[in-house]
Amino acid sequence: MLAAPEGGAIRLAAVTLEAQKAGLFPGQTLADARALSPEIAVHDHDPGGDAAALEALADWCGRYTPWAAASGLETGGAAGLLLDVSGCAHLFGGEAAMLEDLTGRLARVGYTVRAGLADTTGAAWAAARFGEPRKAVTIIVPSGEHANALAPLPIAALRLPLDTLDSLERLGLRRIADLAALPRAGLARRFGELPARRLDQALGEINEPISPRAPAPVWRLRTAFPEALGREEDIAAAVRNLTEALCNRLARAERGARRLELCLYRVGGRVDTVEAGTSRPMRDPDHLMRLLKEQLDRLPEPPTGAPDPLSAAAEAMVETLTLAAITSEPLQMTQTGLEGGRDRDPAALERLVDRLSGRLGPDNVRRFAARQSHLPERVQASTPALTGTDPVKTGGHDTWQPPLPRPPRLLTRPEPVEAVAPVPDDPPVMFRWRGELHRVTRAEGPERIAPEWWRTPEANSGSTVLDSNTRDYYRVEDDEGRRFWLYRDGLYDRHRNADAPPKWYLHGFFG
Amino acid sequence: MPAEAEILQRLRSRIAAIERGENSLRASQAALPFGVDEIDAHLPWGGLATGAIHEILDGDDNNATKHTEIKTKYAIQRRFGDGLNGAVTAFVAGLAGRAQQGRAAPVIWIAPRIPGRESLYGPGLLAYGLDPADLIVVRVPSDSDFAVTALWATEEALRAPAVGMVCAEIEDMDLTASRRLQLAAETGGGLGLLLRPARRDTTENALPPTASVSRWRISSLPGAPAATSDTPWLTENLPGQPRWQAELLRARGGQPQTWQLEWRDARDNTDTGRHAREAAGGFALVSPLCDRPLPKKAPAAGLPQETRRARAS
Repeated sequence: MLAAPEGGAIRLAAVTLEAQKAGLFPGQTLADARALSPEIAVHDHDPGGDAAALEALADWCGRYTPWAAASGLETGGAAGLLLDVSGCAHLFGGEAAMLEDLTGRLARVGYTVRAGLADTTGAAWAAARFGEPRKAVTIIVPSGEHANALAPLPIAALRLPLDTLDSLERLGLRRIADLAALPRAGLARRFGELPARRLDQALGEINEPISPRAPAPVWRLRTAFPEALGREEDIAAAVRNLTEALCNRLARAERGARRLELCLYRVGGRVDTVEAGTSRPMRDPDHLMRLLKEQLDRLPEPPTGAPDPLSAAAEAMVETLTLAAITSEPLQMTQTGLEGGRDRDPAALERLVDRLSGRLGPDNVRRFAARQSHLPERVQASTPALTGTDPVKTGGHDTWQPPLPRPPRLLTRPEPVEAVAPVPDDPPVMFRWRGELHRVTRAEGPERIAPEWWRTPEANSGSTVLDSNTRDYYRVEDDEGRRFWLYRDGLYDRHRNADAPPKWYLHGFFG
Repeated sequence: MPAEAEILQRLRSRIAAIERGENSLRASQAALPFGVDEIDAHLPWGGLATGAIHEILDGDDNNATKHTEIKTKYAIQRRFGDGLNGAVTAFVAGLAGRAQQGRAAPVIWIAPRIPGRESLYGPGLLAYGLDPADLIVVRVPSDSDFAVTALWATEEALRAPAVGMVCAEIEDMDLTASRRLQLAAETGGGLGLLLRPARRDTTENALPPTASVSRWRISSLPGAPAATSDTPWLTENLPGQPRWQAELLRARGGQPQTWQLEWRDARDNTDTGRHAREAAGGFALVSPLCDRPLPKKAPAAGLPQETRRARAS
């Protein structure tokens, strides 16, 4: 039993079947409920959690049809799932078998469900909630029979708000048949257009599409197993078959996948989703399979509520797989080379980038691009290699070309050093970096680099070097032949900073 | 007798083929030359063998290896690529640039990801002929899985046919791991450089065993003390061209050797040429010091300081 504060009192939000029998109902105040049956157990109502759970269930129903949606949340209480199973039922051995399967699985994971199936959304909704016999778990309204099936049901089966129901009932309209007999125009005039619309929807006179949870992808394949799969090899083999089938379809349409989504529906009701991206449209099953396999291998151990490892393993078994190309792009057929074109395969590098990005994350596989700047740390930008860079946009060699020697390694954040520079504007004679003293034997400089004054302070704050002083860079070599790129942050000024001379930093390492 | 010699020769080459494996025999036809005749002639493959991995040790002492307290403080910085290895980075960049051009394929550089420390710097690499636009940097998160993931990435890159060179900064690697990488390189025909730190004074025997085809230790040398007559104060105190001590510690089918190398800029320093890569210089042997009379005119054309002075005069 769930309760939530509403209108200054704590009211029941949802009640169990047993509580309903005891005369409790949603909307009752908690005090009244306690008076009726003092032994009730009350928990806080968590609408967000309910919604999330329902959405997850809708996802789970993706195994039956891509057109699955959570419904009834907005009207409160009578939450449910809507599935458009047109053309799907035969995959499960008919409508009855499909509903049996659906309700059976949900019951096994602990849900009390009732399923109704009919020609229209409204009729199915009504059948699931008000259909006779009351004890039946699944109710199937045969095709074309929905008008007859609806007729004896109470008007509450029309998905109407409570106040409308009240006023209709006060007029003696108790059954849907009573309502259907009335002229629609008069009905609409007295009760607004909703009752008439709901009636028409239930009778199939107006179309009522359901909006599925996720946009149904065009390139989507599904496979279900008579026996759930537990071994990794079996799952991989099944994924492999799906991948090949998907690639064949893509090839026929001359398309290639950019993003793949693989869903594993587990016995325990959990759905694991694995995604893989490619840097160019692909329909090579070997490559796509390798991308998916790498993600599959690193799926986290499923957290289960199962009491022992054995049943945890059973819950983790995979019953159904779906594979979808969420994003696909046109990909022309290519002529393959006549003999061993392996070495000249232009996609080979992309494939490597895909695999590396898949495992390490796109952020960790990068390409460098040059920027127009004279601040050393701003010259180099890097972008994920998966997105692909256009060398024209990033500037060619000209941008890279430094006017003066630059080190092959540059510290992103310059490190402070203690430098001894007896003569202002001369290179230091020695410096201490990370505790070690380096004696400078040779030096070159200064190369004076001024801050980019035309960039606003906001833009500058994004840079890794905080200060915006003029820097004097020196290329120095120590007595062991190691070379450093040091700079003095700011200029000496006898009047202004005699007490606090500018600081020295180490910025890079030369060869 | 000549027949016997011929048979012996044939047997030897067959044994060599078996030892190196079928693939490496094919790949060894395409070695990556240093561009220094003495080194290329010394190496059994006429350069760095492709379809193989080579180990490049950083001979420069890291601070961290000297001071224990700093070692603990900067534990992560013992990693390659974050300390004093400008010298070996420059050396590898020189080789990678040659691979980029010679094999017409990009270079992949695999390094640990240390947040806020992306230290490879394009403009500096370009000076050694490595085009940063054709370089892919793979950053492996430096967590507990680092070794496994880095090895995996290196193996994948070595197997890929479209890669010119793979440079991998992997500190800890056992024999099995390096054998895996060597096998991957043989199958894919890749060329891999494993960059690892090492003390300057360790002997080859003290180093961990490896399946790599050759092992080098690169340390920095003081720059060239340019002997000049007219402006000694200028060149004496300038850091000249980069110099390295390149020790070939071991090579399969070859002898250890030590060379002193330097980088020669082909392009005039004052000229910011458009095609930097073509204009990038190359490795050259440092002429051994010996007692000889000073040449009368500007010596050793090719040293930039000399060229510049020759122009000015």
